[in-house]
Amino acid sequence: MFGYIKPRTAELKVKEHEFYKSVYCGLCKSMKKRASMLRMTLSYDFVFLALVRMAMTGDSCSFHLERCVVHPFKKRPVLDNNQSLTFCADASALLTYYNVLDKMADKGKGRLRGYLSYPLAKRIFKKISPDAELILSAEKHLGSLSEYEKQNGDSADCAAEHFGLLLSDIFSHGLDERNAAIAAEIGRHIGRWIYLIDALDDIEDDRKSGSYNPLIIGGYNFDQAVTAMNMELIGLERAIELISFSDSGIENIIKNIIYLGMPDCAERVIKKWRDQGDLK
Amino acid sequence: MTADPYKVLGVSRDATDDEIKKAYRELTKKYHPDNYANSPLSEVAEEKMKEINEAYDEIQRQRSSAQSGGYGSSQSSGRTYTGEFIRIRELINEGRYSEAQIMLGSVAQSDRNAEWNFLKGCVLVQMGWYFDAQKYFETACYMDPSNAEYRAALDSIRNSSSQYGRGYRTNAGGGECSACDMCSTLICADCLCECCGGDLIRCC
Repeated sequence: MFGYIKPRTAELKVKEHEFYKSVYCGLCKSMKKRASMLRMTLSYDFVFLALVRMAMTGDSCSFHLERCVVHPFKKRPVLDNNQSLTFCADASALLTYYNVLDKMADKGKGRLRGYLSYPLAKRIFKKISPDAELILSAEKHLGSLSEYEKQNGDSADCAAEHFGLLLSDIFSHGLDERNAAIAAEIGRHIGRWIYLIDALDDIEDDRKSGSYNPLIIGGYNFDQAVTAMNMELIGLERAIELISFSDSGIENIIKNIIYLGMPDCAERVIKKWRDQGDLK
Repeated sequence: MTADPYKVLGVSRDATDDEIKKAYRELTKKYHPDNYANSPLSEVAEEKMKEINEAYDEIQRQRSSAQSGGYGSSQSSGRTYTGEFIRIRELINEGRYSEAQIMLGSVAQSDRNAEWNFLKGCVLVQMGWYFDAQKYFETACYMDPSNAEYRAALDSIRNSSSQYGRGYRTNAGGGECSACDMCSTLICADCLCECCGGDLIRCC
């Protein structure tokens, strides 16, 4: 969806990288099963969600070899469909739908794309028919976020919190009490981190188009941004360390993502913005 | 006396005790009976003097009753907001952050000094809102650069964030064995075998 939650593949073992790709393929297949066009929303962010869910639920991991439209020549290992993959497919449909709604209300260049994507997003959403609890959560938290944006709120933390709470509900949905608490914390920090890095990434575009961006309104400097995002990662680390991993492969991939992949992404965004001059 | 005592002394209501004393001294110097001893205006001056004395006494009375009715210790400025901040600190120490937030929100804009910004930052740290927390800590340090407590709070966030990921090793964790480990283990095993009269690896 955003593409910020990725591993540093150079530091993954070959077998771990293969596993990671098989989950990505497995998610694609799962989406195809649920609603054919849903595959267009496929992203690495949901692979992370799938990995976390599988680590917590202990879903079985079995594979099969398969060809596909995008890779027609050689059969590739694909993770067999399981509960976690199905859940991620549905979550992707839900978030994409609300993302499209958000784009339609935007001022920037995403508005036209929003209108064009709307009919398809709506049809997929209707077909998947996500869980009522998740719909309520999306309406509530994204509604609060939208209200805050309309009032030109100047606190990036406050805005990020709404998105964090939504992901918190998604990550923890349907899990038992202990796992739900851990997953909720992971989701909250991931959501807040995504919101902050997205705000940083879009700062120039939003300034030009006059779109809402709490960093423009509140005014932050580069050091504060780096520190705040690292603090989210620290919270994320604390939550992840509480998972009792049964599969070291999944554990290593998740840790690669949070310790290497996400900081790499942050570094890339900050470097791009630093080259253009300070925020204020 | 119906006149406003502050107006009589020519000071504002926010004036410090020192400012009021100073104003009183200057007025008494001006309207002192000795200055008007042989003047037809001595009675008028005397009345003025009486007015000034009464105004000064009135202000002293008002301020001392505010002090004793307040939250206990207050600085020479005679305001009670320091007492409020003590209460907010207590709430934070007890973990009652939402109440602390409410109390912080009720403080007037003009009273939001360095300590207020510091306490606001403390509450935000508890919520995990580090962007805003930094902003408030930085403001506190800017308003009161000599305060070690505020500086320490800001540094603590910065130090924690810079430590992220230091403990993570990019190569494999412990418990793995490489080819070197295997070879050397086999050679050792072979030597031990030969010591006991056997032979694990014939060519070694």
